[in-house]
Parts: sequence; C-alpha cells; structure tokens
Amino acid sequence: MAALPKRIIKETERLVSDPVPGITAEPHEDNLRYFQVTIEGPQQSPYENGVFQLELFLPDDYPMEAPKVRFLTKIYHPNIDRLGRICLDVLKNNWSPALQIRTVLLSVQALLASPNPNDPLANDVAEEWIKHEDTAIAKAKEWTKLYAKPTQDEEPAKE
Amino acid sequence: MRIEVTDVSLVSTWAWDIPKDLSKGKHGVADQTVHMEKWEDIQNEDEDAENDEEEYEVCGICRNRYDATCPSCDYPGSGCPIVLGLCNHNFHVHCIKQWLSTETSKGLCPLCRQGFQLRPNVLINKMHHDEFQKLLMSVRQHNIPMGGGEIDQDVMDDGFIR
Repeated sequence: MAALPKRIIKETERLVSDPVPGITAEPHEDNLRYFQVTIEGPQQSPYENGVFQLELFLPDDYPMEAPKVRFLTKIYHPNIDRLGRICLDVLKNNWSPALQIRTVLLSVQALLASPNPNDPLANDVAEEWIKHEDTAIAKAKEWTKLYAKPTQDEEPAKE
Repeated sequence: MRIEVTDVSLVSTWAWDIPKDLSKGKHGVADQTVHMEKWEDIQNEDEDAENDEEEYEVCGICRNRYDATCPSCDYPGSGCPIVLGLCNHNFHVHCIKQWLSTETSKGLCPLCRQGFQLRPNVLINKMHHDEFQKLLMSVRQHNIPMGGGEIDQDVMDDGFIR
C-alpha cells in the first residue's frame, strides 16, 4: 500500500488532539484509512442519549473521492437504510476535497438532527415518517434505546 | 593582499508571495509587510510544520503550504505552481487539476462551488496555462447536458461554441 498522504495524517492527529464534541473517530491500527467512529445522537432529536457506531473508510483517491461512511448500529431514520448506508449529498455528488473527515461526520450528525423523509433511502421509514410522524419518532426513540447503547465494551449491534 | 575569484556559485531560496487574506483584498500597502513577515517565519519555522493550517494559507485541497510539497510533487515546487482562481481561491496546480479531472467536480471550485476559472492576468507559466484551459474546456463540455445556462454562457464567452 502506498504511503499515507500527509493530509490524512494531519486530519487523524487533529481528530485525536482536538475532537469534535459528541464525535470520536479512531483509525484502525492495521489500516490507517479505516476509522471506527461513534456519534452521539443530537439533543432534542429522537436519537438523543444514543451512541451510534459507524465505520469510515478513506478510498485511495481521497480527498478527490468522498470517504465511505456507514452506520453499524441499527437506526430508524428515513435517510439511512437497513445496511447502514447513508443518503447524504456531501458523501456523493456534492463531495468537495475541501471537506474533511470531521466536516463529513458533522454532516452525518446534523442529518440525525433533521431527518429528511422527502429524499428517502429507507422508503418504508420515510413513508411512515410522512404519514404518522409521531409513531415514526416514537419508533426511532425506541430503537435508539434498544441498539444505540453508550456501552462500548461488547460488540456493537450489527445489522 | 590580492585574491582571485575562480568560481561563483549562486544560492537562492524563494517563497510564494501570498497575502494572508486574499479574499478581503488586502493588497497594496499591506503586501510588503506581509511578505517580510512571512519570509522570516518561513526561515525560522521550517521544521515546525505542525501549525501550518493556522499560521499559513494552505492549499484547500491537500492542506499543505503553497511552497511545500504537494502530494504529487517529488520535491518542493517541482513544476507545481500555484493556480489563482477567479473566485480568489488558490490551489497547487497538481491538486486542482486532479480535482477538475474527476466527474464529481463538475468543474467547480472545491471551496465555493462556483465554476472554476483562472484569474486573468495572473498567469502561471504558459505550458501549464494552456494545459489548464484545455482541461477546463473539456470539463465544461462534459457538463453541458447536465449543467444550467450559466455554464453554456461560459463556453460562449470563451469562443468555444458560437
């Protein structure tokens, strides 16, 4: 594997020395392009008090190509599907090399604070979100309590 | 005493003269002082590259200083001039060319998402400039079916399609 670009080293150092509140990202010791990420559910969102595990991978072409980010913790959200894939413009066609790991993770956190059922990835969730918002939010809260437990000792709930 | 000079070796160093805040147009009077400060900083803090991002303007793509090695360079400044955008955002030529060659870029500046154009009258060397125009041209061509009227207008302005 090619040497790790300086930009990735710098980003990693800063993620550790100056972490974003509510977000942690640690590189895997065997592969410094693979990060284990946790994001706290934003306050006053249905995901409040939950801690969600994600994985983030920097492809060879990063920063010309967006990082690949996926939820590992099960989550009830109209823009996140059963496999944890995320529908977020900056991860796809609105990526810019001026963005970084930290800004991308902030965007993901913001997506938790404001679900957008009009641009759905999980169609069933989005439909529920539009038709019966209260029920959908209750379910999101329930799933948060069930799966997004703050304890990190045991393996995170996968799929 | 009499000495005879048999050989002279010139040693020179250089740095990009970049005002700290181009976007706010602090040109003119401030320029010279900024230059002097920067020059000293560069000499004193060469090893101390840790605080690059706070202390200096860095390339918005690779986040290295303009006068440092970009990831595609073999040595500092190796054929890697800085490219000044019309939108006042500047990049290493290697970095911005690599970005504009991707499909995702849609020919846009990574920082402000306006169509990236070279700032007129501030030319990088001729070869790079021509190559760059060619690249921008092909990016725009590629984007005409998807893009809006603005891009078409750009093409018109360049005399590419009449």
